Amino acid sequence: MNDLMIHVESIVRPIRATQSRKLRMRRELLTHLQAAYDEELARHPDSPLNRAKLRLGSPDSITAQLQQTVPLAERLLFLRLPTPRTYDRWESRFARHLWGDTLLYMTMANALLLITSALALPYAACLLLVLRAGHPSTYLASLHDHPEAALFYNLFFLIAIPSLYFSAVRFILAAAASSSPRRLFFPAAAIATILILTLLTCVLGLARRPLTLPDLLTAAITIPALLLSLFLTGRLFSTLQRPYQPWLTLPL
Amino acid sequence: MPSITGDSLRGHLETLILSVLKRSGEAHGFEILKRLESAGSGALNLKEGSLYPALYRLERAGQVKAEWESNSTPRRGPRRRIYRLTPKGARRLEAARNEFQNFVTIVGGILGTTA
Repeated sequence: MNDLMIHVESIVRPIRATQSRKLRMRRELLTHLQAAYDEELARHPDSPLNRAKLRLGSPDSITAQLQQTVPLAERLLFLRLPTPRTYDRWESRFARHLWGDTLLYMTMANALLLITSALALPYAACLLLVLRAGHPSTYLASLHDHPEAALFYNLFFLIAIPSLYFSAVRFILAAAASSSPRRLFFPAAAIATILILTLLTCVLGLARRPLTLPDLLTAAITIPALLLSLFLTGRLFSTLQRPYQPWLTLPL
Repeated sequence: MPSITGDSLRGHLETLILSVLKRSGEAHGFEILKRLESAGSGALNLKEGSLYPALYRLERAGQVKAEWESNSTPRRGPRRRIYRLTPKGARRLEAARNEFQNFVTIVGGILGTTA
């Protein structure tokens, strides 16, 4: 069955169309190929697979014919840039990472890379202040007088904090896509809660007032609702995508 | 009997599918192919993968209607998609028959063969 699926996938994967349309093509071609294989197995037990493939025709030709049946708007929507192979690789990699064990590793690696890159910004700001302001004790005070250095600091916060949130969101989505979501959801929710509370404290710090009980109550209601809605969205997304997974992870 | 290959069939495949569905009722892809082969007495040499693009074109044109077979069907393997002729498909088949008959009469007359 796996060999039959690989042959079908080699025909269908390059087609520019929605996944639901491609899934239908995959299922129909697989049913057909399976029936042809069974017939060939009864007639020629030596090489039924090759004979069944030959009966179906050249994969390139079928791909081209099937592509022509896709509406023009859909073809344009899925136009591949810069090369078809790049898209194919992306499609199969996406499928592997979304459900594979590598998701968490990739998420954390991406976030680490972003934060490390972002750290170059305060470093650049310090360097600029050293050159302009002189003595280290005056660095922070001199930010007011050197808006170009302050800009680097602001850019750091603009990149580093969203990066942390990005990793938390991916963590929650990983939990949603997992077959045992409860195991992953609670640590993910705890990390996300800490991050949200940190952000809230920063915002209140900027507003020059302390964290009060109503703030905490609002956070206590908003944070679980936010996390749960994110989790449910991820769960829905994962359920909708699940039928495509066995196909997209096939090695071609 | 010499076989008729894909090139000669091009342009006629959709009409042939409509005709098979009209004669024998609803069918899935593989069954349609078997009926075509049987009706052509083994002379049709069709690349089987070409059948599905033709079926999708017919479906887009509203000439056939397709539905997945129900889960309760006692059969191993993936579910099949059952195609059936629509009234629009039946009208198209009738028009195609007349066109083909006209073609055969005119071209047959020129070539000196009997229609």
